[in-house]
Amino acid sequence: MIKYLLTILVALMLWVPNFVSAADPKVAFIYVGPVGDGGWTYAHDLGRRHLEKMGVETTYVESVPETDSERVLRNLARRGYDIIFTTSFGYMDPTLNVAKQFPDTIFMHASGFRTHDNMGNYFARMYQARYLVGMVAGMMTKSDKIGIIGSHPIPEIIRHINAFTLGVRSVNPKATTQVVWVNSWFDPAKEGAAANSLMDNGADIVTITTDSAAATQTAAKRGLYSIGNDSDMTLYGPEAHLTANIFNWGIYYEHIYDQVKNGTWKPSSDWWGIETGAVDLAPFGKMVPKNVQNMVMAKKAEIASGEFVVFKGPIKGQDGSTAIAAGAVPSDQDLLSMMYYVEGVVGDIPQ
Amino acid sequence: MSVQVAVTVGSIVLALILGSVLLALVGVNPMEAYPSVGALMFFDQWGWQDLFLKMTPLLLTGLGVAIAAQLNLWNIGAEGQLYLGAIATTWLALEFSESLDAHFMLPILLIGTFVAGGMWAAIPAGLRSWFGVNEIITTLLLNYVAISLADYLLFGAWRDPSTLNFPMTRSFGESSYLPMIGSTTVHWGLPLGILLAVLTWILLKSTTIGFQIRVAGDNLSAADYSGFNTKNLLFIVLVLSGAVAALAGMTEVAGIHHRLQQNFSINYGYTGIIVSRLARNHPIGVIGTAFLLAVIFVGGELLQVEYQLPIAVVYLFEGLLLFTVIGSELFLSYRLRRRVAV
Repeated sequence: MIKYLLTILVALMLWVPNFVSAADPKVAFIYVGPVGDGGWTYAHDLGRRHLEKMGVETTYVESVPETDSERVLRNLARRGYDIIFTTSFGYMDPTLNVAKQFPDTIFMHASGFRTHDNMGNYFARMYQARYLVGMVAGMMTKSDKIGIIGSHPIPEIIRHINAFTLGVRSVNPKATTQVVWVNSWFDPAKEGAAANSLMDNGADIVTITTDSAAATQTAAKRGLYSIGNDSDMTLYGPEAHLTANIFNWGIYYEHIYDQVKNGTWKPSSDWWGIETGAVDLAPFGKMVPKNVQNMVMAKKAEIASGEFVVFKGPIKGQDGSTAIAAGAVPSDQDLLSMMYYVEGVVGDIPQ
Repeated sequence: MSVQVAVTVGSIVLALILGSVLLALVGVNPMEAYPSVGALMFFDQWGWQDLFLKMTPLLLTGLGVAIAAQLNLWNIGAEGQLYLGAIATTWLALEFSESLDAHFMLPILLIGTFVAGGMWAAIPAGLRSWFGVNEIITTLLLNYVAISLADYLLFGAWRDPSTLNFPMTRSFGESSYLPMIGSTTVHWGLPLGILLAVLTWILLKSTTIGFQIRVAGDNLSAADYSGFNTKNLLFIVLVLSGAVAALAGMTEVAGIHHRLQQNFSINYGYTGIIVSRLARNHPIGVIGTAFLLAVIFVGGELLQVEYQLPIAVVYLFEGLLLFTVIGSELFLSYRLRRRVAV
């Protein structure tokens, strides 16, 4: 009798955990930079902590170079993490390779374009927030020259430069933006040097497409302005920080987590707009006048409701020719492969 | 010899103890962390594969540095030589891997990489041999040139258009892939490295030139007086050192990534200096210390995943290890003696 009961007990002990673990996915993140970058990676980690506050078991590995990522991803998949977020464009092919080997794990790749049965990609329409912060820059500049630190000349960054420039010139048609490329996602030393060279060239506001807060620190030292990227960078230079275009990844990560937990997840390419709250503006610095703030917030509401579309013609290219015809709205695909500058951007796209 | 080993082992243990204090300070229980990370590394076949994969480039660069050290030369240029090796491998693979099969491709890669690394080291070697220019500076500065050269190629002629402007080459043809050992992910780079280490040791112990090198390493002017051509020796040794270090570039690019991209070397060249120094520049000892540094790297990564520690934890352990081992050299130079009553 006892043996019989014991057998049932052991069987239950082996069987029940299948349900327990299936109900609680574990989530892992790999980051291309350090959590302390105060920018891109920091924003993702805030999203991860949002999940932790919900009671989800998470882990992360930071500063994983793209060349080492495949090995790290395989280790995480082997360790039984159910959802793995890979947060850099350069992780795309490694993520796909590992996804093919681990069909039971769900891989979500940020800012890429490949999918698989168990792999999706995601991004947020940062270009909408870029337009808005561009408006702030356009109204706050006195020299009519605004500097942008470029990371890598890929369509995502070109698109952001363009959206920012469109925002600047929508309120200040005389202003121009100038781009300096550092060919890195995260390099505080190079970013600081680039910021200095842009400011030496006459820019009184600098914004970045890179991951660190070096430009804000540099601007603060020189008594000029800066606009942060991906996270609120006020702490790095309160007198310089006008605002920032930020991500709120927590909302998106919660959404994916719920889908996986309920079994409703399907591979897709998500591109969440400002109406979801996944992109937003950081609080304005004290130096931004109320009328500027109101104008920008009104525009934000228009974009969120769909009343205003950032990339809607007529939009002129850098050489003055028509890039987007009047009334035309490029498809998402066109936006994702955008490789030309709009009018107002000074410089060439490195080939 | 056994004193040296004992002192080295002792300093490694000391580093682990100091590391456990560090872990405790950040809120991780070392009595729990060390065994669990150790189990993940050593009782798991994937842990071993990771260790061997990380060990290979460290072994090759460490061996390169150790070879130079036989003549008391400091090869700080392993990173640059590694890059030249990777560039040579990439060029050969991009040109020939589609048309030649593996039987030709692999020897060509090996020879080509060896030559490229040797040529890159020949510059500081010649400057040192015939003009007495300090090789520490020349090898170090050439690193930056090598990395810039790789960038120039990656952003220019070799950039793969299908990657949307990202600096990387297209994938190599399969004939250039280093073969894997069995069904693991470990490639034959590791046995190659071990073989080279053994060959180096045999060269030093049993050949005429090896004897000359050892004499010159102990006392360069004595070797000069004995009629050995020390200028040639200096040149040959530094060139050989660069050639071996360059192989690390080949194993990473042809064994793992199958394409050239930025940052494919995670400081393997500079860590090779630590590897060699920890082994007191002994070619066979380098095998052990390369493994040890791989353990620190993989273990550190596991600590990150298991305990959510920052990546700095890996650097701290590496630093502690170097600190204790070099500090322990005090015990090799001096001996504790009881004061004898006069």
